[in-house]
Formats: sequence, C-alpha cells, structure tokens
Amino acid sequence: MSKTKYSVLILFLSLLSSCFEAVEEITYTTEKAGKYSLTINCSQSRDKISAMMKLDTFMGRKIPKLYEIDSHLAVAANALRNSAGIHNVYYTFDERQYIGIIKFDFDSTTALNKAVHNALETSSDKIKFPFTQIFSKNNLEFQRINTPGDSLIKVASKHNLGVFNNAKVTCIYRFKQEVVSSNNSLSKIAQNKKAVMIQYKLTELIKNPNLFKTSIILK
Amino acid sequence: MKLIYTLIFLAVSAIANAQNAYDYVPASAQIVFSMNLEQLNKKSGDINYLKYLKPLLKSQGYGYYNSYDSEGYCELININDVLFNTSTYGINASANVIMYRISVNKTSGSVFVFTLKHPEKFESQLMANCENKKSIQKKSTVNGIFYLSDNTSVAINGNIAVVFNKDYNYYESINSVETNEFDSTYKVDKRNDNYRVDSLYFEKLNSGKISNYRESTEDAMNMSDTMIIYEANKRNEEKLKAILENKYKDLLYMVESFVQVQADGIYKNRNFSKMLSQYNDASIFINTSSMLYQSNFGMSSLLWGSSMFNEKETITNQNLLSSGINSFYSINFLYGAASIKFQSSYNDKAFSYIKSIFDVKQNKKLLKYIDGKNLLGYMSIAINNKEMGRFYGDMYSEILNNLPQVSKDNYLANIAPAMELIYAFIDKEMLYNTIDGRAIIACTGFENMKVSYKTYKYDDDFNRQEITEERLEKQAKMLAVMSIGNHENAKKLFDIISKFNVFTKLRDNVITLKAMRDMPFNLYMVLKEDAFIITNDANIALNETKFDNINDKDKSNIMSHNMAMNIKIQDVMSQMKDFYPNGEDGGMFKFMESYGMFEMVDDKPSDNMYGASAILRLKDGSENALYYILKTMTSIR
Repeated sequence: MSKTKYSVLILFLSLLSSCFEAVEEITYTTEKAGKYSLTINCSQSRDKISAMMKLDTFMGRKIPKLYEIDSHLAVAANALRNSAGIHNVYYTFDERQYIGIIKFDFDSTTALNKAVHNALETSSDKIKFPFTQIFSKNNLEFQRINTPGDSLIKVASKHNLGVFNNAKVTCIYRFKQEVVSSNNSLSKIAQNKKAVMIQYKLTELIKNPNLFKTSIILK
Repeated sequence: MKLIYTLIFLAVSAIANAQNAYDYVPASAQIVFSMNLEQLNKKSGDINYLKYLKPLLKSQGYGYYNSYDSEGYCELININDVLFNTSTYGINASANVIMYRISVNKTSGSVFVFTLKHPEKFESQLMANCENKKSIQKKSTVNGIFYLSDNTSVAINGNIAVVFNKDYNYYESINSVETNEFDSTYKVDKRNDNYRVDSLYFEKLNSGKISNYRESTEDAMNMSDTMIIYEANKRNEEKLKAILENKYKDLLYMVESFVQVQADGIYKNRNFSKMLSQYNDASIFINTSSMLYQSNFGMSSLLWGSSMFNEKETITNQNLLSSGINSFYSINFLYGAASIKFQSSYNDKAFSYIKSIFDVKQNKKLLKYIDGKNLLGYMSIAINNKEMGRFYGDMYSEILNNLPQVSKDNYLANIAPAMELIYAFIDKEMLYNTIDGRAIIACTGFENMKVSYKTYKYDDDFNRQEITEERLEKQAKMLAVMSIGNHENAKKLFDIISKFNVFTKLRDNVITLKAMRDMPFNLYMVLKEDAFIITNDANIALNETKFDNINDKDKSNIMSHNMAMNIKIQDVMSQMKDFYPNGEDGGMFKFMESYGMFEMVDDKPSDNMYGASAILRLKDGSENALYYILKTMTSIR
C-alpha cells in the first residue's frame, strides 16, 4: 500500500477524535511582574497527526506543514518580543511529540495583556481579535476576566465539538502572596496556598466561555 | 425535389436546434467533466455540494492571480455563481453542464458549455460585477454574440452558451501594448498650446495689469485648449479598440469554434458515446492520447523557451500503441447506493496487449493466508506482470522513437537507445516473475495496541512534571500477500534485503521492521513457498496459520475477476466504535456507521475496452446516497 493510501486509511479511521491538552501558567515573581507559559501538548494524538501531516489537504481543508506551525510560533514569538514590558521570549516545538511551548517574562499585567493580544493578532491573519483585557491584578486580587476575544470561541464552536471531546485545558496561577479564596467552583488551591489550578474540558469551555472567569483573592 | 428540400430543412433545423451540449465538445478535448445540476440539486437536498467541486470549477484560468488592473476590477462571469443560480442565468438545469480542457497551439484553458432556457437572461447577467467595461470587447457575428477579454470569454449561440477561461500565457502578456500614455500628436499639440498660453500670459504681464500673481497664473492655466486632451483620449480609445481587435481576432476565431456543433466532436468517440448513453449524475472523460499528443508527451513544456522548441513540430505518427487511449468515469447516486463505473478504450494494437495482461486468474493458494472470518476488507489484483512490462516497454519505446526530430544533435534522439541499452541488461525473469502480478491486500480486524504519550502531573503545590503514560489504541491488522513466480529468485532477493540493518531477522524466512514514529507497529516480511507476505499481524508472520474460511461470494469475486475490492464499512465502524467516540453531536462517525459496504469488480476485457464497476451501499435505502455522503463530509468541520 502506498504511503498516501496508508495515510488516508489511518486518517479516515482516526480523524474522528483528538486528544490534546493546553496548560496556561502564570507565575508572579513579584507583586506585579512574573512569567507566562502556554503549552499545547498533542502527544496523545501523535500518530493521527503524523498520518494527517502526510497529506496536503483533507476534504478540502489544508493540512499545515511542520515548518508552517513553526513559522506561526515564530511570528507569535516575534510579536511578543516587540511588545513593551516583555522579555526572555522563548518558544519550542517538539516535532516528534507535537508539543509546542511559548514562554516569556512580563513587567506588569498590562504588558501581559497587550502581549497576548499582539501575539494572537499577528499570528492570525483571518480572525480579528478585538483587544480585551484578559488578566487583571492588584495587590489583593487576580482576575481572569475574559477569553482572548469572542471570535476564538466562535471559530471553535463552528467545529464539531466531538473532535475536542478528550481535550483539556489547565490553568495554573502562582503568586507571591497566599491565596484566600477563588470564586471558580472548578479551582483547587495548592497546599502551600500560593497557587490555584483550574482544569476544564475544552468542550465545556467552548459551550460556556464564562467558565474562564475567575477571581482569586490574595492575602 | 420536394423530398430533397424537406431533408435539407430537417438537417438544418436539427443542427440549429441542437439541444445536446456534448455536440459542442471537440474531439481534441483533453478532459470532459459533466454533471446534471437538476438531478444533483434534487439529490443533495439542502446541502451545498458545489463547494466540493470548487477546485474543478474555477472561475479563472490557470496562472491568473487576480483580475484587477489599473482601471479596476472586471469579472465577465462567475462560474460558481452561474451554477448556484441557474434560474437567474436562464440555464436549463435539466441539461448537463459540461466543462472541458482544451489546448490549441499555444492557447489552453477550460471551456464550460451551458444549455440555456432564456439566452437573454444569461446575457443580461454578464459583467454584473465589472468596473472597467472597456476591457471587454463585444462582438456579434453570424455565429453568435461574443464577449471577449484577456482571461474569460463568453459566446452565446441560440440556446448554447460557452464560457472560455483562458490559461495565463506569459509570452503573450509581455507583448501586450500599454495604452495609458498619450501619443506624439498630443505632445506636439500640447507644446504648441503651452507656447500660446505662455505668450498670452507674458503679454498680460507686460501690460502691467496683474495685481495678484497666483490668481493670474491660475487664469493662464485655464486658457489651455481642452480639446487637445479630449482628442488625445479619443485617439487612445480608437488605438485601444484596434489593439483589442487585433488581440482578440484569434480569440474570437477560437471561441466561435467552441460554440459550433463540432463536425469532429467527442460524441463520435465510441467509449464516450457508449458511456454517455447510460444515465449519469456526473462523469469525467479523460482523453489520454489527446493529452499526450497535444503536449508532445510533455516535451513541449520541457523545451519551452529553448532554441529547440518548435510549436509546429507534432508527433505525426498517429498509429501508436498509445493512440486513442481514453477513460470514462461516471457516478450515479441512487436511493441507498452510489454506483461508479469506469471504462477504458484502446486501439486494436494496444488491446491485444491488454487482453494478455488480464488473461490470468488469481492464485488460489493466496487465500489460505487470509482470515475470512474476520475479513473487513480486501483488494485483489491479478495481472500478468510480464505482459504488462512488455506493453509499457513497447509503448514508451514507440513514443520515444516517434518524438519530433528537431535538430541533428537533439539529445532526445538518444533517449530511446539509452533506454534499450539499460533494458537489455535487466534480468526480465527477476523483474517480472519474482512477484508475478497476483496479490491480495486485506484487513482482517483490529487489535489493541499500547501507545505511549507525554502528559503532565502536578504536585501538591501545582508544580508541573512531564511524565510518560500509555493508552490503548486500535490498530488495523493488514496483510499484503503476493504470489511468487520464481521462488529461487525470490529467496535470493529476500536474503539480500535481510542484510539491511533496518531489518531484524526473526527466522530464516521472516524479517521485521520495528515500529517507528511514522509507523506505530512492527512490520513483518515473510517468504513462503508460494507467497511473499507483508503484514503487521505477528500471528500470520510467526505461526504457520492457515485459513479456509472466506465466504463464497468474496471467494468467487476474487477468483473470477482480475480486480476485486470489498470494504465492509459497517463492520469496520462497529469495531472502531468504542475507540472513536464523538460526543453527543455524533460527527463523522455517526454517519460512517450508516454505510454498508463498498464493492468493486472489473469486467473481462472485450470489444477493445476494459472497465470496472463499483457500488457504495448504505444500510438505509430510504435516503439518497449523495445526500448521505454530503452529510458525512459536512460533519467534518
């Protein structure tokens, strides 16, 4: 069986579900500044992605090449580097496991918001992301206010949600101060009281983006 | 005498009222695609099927990046728009819409043929989206009404409309003349007028009557003769008209020929007319020999631009093995099934080869390696490798020997003897009879396979740590079993292959290629007395397992056809179910579950033709197959 036929067979049988996890981590090293990291891990769907990557298109949809994914990450990283108050931008893409990581240091939460917006807008030429303040922080409270633009949710919800059935999103927020409480019912507070972790099913998030909204009260 | 007049009248009116759009397709068309919009619209229900045909139904010819020019955008007609809005365009949707590719001399492109109910409606829709109407030239001749432009041209003749999307031609476009600049007469007139205005201004200046210099300068500018620019523009328009006239002369001639009933039409092709006589929702005719001859077997593109290129050189010998080869594919959507037919036509000389290629039966001994009880799908092929080698060898040798001899030192002339020389060294027995051309590829179920992946665990303080975990995945058990003609040669090759360090020798007759990134399973190669097996099923590779449980229908299909294929989609899906849940909204999997099976068998070559027919069956016969296939396709979002 030729390589292409083999790919089509595997793809045909396996395109139906996709497992991946996204991990967003914000670690405040001072009251204002900190580190941001986003990891997209598609290792569970590695074989399916490998099969799909052998095709140029599937059912009229373009399958991106590895270098294109890398180039998107590079564009996003460049936008971050050019954002005020952002330093030490680093990105990596593991082509064997399909794990992409992008991380950087920020001077303030305002700089973080602007940087995330810049990265999203620059790396996506088709989707318009109106600027929204995603994070907010003062001495006593940290808030995750919104998703990066409603358009992201709109795009995702156009897809068959079954495709994202096993996908999960983890958000971890670490602080210098101790956490008093979190209003998000899904959140867990760390044993040292200095971190909050929230785990979502992606399908739930797409259906109800308000689940992202979290207010964490700090000591 | 009356009888003769009556016959003449009948003949003329038959041509004038020709309803069949196929009559307008020339015999030299390379690919002819046709579809019945009325039927497809009815069968596709509320789902838009045309979006899947977009790559085929391009509104622009190949090579055009956009339709903008300095004077604005102009779209003469949008093919997709026509297909979506047949009534707005006055199209007779019950007649087939035809698209064919053609290449005449240096010009190539796609031609669409529409049958019209209301020609005036069609014409009124032209240039609906056009800012620069000057770029379109309208012509009326005895052969119809023509709208000509650089990339798209339209012709209307009675109830037939033809749209020609010309491919971009670099050599033609660089010769086009720019008309934006004014001519030399304008320059002389303008210079004289400037002298006149200057002397009037100086006269005024010398008279000492000027108090405001700025105003007086503007007044002087207004003294310019506006007729000069008016005349220049008029001359430019005429010049443009003349250029377009000249430029479009050949194009008009070409488009005129497209909108005429063809004396030497594709309808005269035996294969074409035979397949056309059957009712089809959509069909594609591939005129292989026309494609080969019109491009000198691809050599013109190789030589384009070089001193050796000569467009007048064509392959003169039309009595080659490859002459007149063409294929016809058709699809018909029924309730509960979709039927696909394929037929190739050959000339007498080539057909004698085709007959001997297929004059062989499948090797019965191969069946014992296939677990019929768990058989989910198979593809069986039985051809005579030696005869096939002979056919292709002779065909390419003929082609190379008949290439146009451009000059004495033409390197092309050396290709044929060079190939003959290499071929003489090849051991034909080794090449054609080690694996003799009979093989079966089969899927005999699924097995669980452990797959490792990276994920994360978090400590009590939510610090992240990367870990490796395992999960189960379904892996199809695949088997390709090939009949061996000369075992001694097969053993010789197997032993050589075994020496490559990517393989591990498990037994004297079994080697394995270990799982790797792009192949998440072990692949075994086994040399038996009567067969060579490639499989990922360790049981078949390492044990002397033999089966005799293929059902009678499959056995009969395999043994009595040169090509047979069967995929039991329903059984595949039921085995995959637990591993590919798709959430509450079902997705593609939900629809795939409703497919029954896909079956294909070929016919014995006869009457200079060789063909095959296939059928895709749905479990439920109450819905049209097109609607169901489209539902499956749209579920992938």
